[in-house]
Amino acid sequence: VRRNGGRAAVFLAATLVAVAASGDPLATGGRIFGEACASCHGTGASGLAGYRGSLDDFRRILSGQVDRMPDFYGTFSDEEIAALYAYVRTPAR
Amino acid sequence: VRTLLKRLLDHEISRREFGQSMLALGFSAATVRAALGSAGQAAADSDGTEFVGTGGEVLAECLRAAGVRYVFNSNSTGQGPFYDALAARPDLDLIVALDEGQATAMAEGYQLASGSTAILSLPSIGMPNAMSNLYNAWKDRSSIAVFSDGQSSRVGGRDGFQQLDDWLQPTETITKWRWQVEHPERIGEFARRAIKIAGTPPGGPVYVRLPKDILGATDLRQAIYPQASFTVSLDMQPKPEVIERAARLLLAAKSPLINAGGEVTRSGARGDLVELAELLSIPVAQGHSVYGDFPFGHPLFAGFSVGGAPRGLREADLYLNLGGDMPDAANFGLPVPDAAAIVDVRVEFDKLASLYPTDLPVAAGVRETIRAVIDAVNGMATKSRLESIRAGRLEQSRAANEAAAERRRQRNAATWNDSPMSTDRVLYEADRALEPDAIIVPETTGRNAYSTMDFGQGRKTVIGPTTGFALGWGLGAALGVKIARPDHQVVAVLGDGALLFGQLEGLWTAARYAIPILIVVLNNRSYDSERQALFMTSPVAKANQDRWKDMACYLGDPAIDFVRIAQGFGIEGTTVSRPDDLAAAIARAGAATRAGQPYLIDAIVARTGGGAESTWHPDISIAKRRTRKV
Repeated sequence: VRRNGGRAAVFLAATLVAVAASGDPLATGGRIFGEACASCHGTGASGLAGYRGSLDDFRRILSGQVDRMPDFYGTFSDEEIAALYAYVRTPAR
Repeated sequence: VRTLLKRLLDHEISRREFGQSMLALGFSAATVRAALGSAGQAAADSDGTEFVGTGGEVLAECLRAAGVRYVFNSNSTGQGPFYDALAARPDLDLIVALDEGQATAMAEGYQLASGSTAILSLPSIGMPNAMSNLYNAWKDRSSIAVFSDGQSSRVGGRDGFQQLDDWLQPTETITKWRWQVEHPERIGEFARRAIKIAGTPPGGPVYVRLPKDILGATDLRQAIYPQASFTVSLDMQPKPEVIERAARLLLAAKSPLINAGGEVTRSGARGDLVELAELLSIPVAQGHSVYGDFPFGHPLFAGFSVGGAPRGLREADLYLNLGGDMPDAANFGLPVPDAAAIVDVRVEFDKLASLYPTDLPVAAGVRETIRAVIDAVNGMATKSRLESIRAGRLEQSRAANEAAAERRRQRNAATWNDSPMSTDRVLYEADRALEPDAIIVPETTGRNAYSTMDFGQGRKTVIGPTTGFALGWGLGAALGVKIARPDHQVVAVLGDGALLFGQLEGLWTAARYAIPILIVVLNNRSYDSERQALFMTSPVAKANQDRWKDMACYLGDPAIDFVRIAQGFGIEGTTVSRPDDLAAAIARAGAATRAGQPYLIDAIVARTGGGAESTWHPDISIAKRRTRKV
């Protein structure tokens, strides 16, 4: 709570933070994407929106099993990975 | 006698009066002469030694007074008086690079490996060439005093030959301080100040411009002072109450995480950090830094804060940042969770609490703070409490690292014997053949070296890549590292794209001065990382991968023969395409460097990721567009 105000000015996910608390998987996925992915993958149409791989492949990518991808193994819970997967599967925003 | 000596040194009495007073006290003439000799030396130390000579000689004498041995240089006619001064002073070694950018990278490599302020002497007209690597040095906070010549101040301001209205302004955002000397009698003053400002933490480049008429002035009479008299010690002790609070936070935390930045290595605190981490079994992440500030092979190593998330970050209830930038999307890092208390320790204190609301900002030296925290923790907690806090954390961290290594082995299994080779295989074979304490200087995008090579405690160390990430740095930096640390094996690990960024002429410097480094080119004939980034963010590729075109990254046509290029500079090398040939190639490289010669291995490695198979590039031939074949 203390830091929400400061961080909002800093991180690319700022616009997504406000809706993250709703429990909506897409909002949660969006928040995580903004914090962990957007700085490399971009946002909106230039991001991963529309990703077509399977959930298993997605887990493998997050586990550092693809060259140049950071190892996020153990960083996110199953629910968060599912939310992130749902977010990147949605059409470009 | 003590009173007389003080009055002599304070110029209250003359040498004659000192001698007469001493004789009156019954001392012999020989004793008086000896005392006057000692007093004279002491006076020289505090007041400076008078020197008469050219502007170039005054500059050289100031460098001597600062204990300088190497001057990194790119040549110009305007530096003539300085060259003449160096020719008469064989204790100052001039290392010539063929390009200002490479001279700058060499100076930075020397600075990073020695900890001393590097001296860089450049032509004024070469400053634009130098600026890419000066920017890197600025980002790395490396102490470099840059001196350049310049057109005579008598004809300045006319947009004439090699003139700009303001040569200093372009360097403003990448130097700590800059000045053009207008009066030759102030050369010494500005030389001393440049070295002082560059070397005062946090370091950075400074730039002093000495126009031709200033550097060439004659019969200058100047006092040369020992640079030590102008050196600022930043032994910045933290406040006791701050340390007590930090120690209590560390003892109370269930999931603490340390982030290590460049100030750890710069303050000589690598060993102290290991001691602190082991005291409470706290995992340590590597922050944004030009150094490896914690042994990557240590079981408490938690991964990288830049480009991903270190293990334990999201669960952290205490985040202890030691001498580096806080994680941030601007550096491709995952943020510190809201629930974590933040203790931020920097000597670069204007960065404290600049991104995050911070529970405990500590403006102090990193080493001093670590030592004080260790003492405080030991003073507050019994041995059994410390054991209880440590319990399980080390084993958990070790197990996680071993699991990550196993995942990496599994991932690599499919391509381990491929040709073109996998980067990990090349580095694995190199690691086995290199000296255990080799210094690796990488200029690559990936972190393959860090997880493949042995960066355990007391083993290999890494300097680089530059946090500026302006390509064209690694070869020059490796040469500078070797000059500073000649008794260590130094290995430049460079992508082909990096080496082709204006670095090839660095091979000449390597050969000219017999700087025996090993150069490993990870040659995938592509700007591989850039292609991957372009591919994965392109809406065209997202819509249809087959329609995406690699406009700017493929380098394979023409394929560049790095071994023949090296041979053109008198440096031997070999091309390796198959994993089975690596060991023999590295053995040949080792023999060459032991014999005092640099050596280059051109390792043909696979492109990876999106668009890797593409060898297409725009088909442009100016020759075909001619209507007249000349």
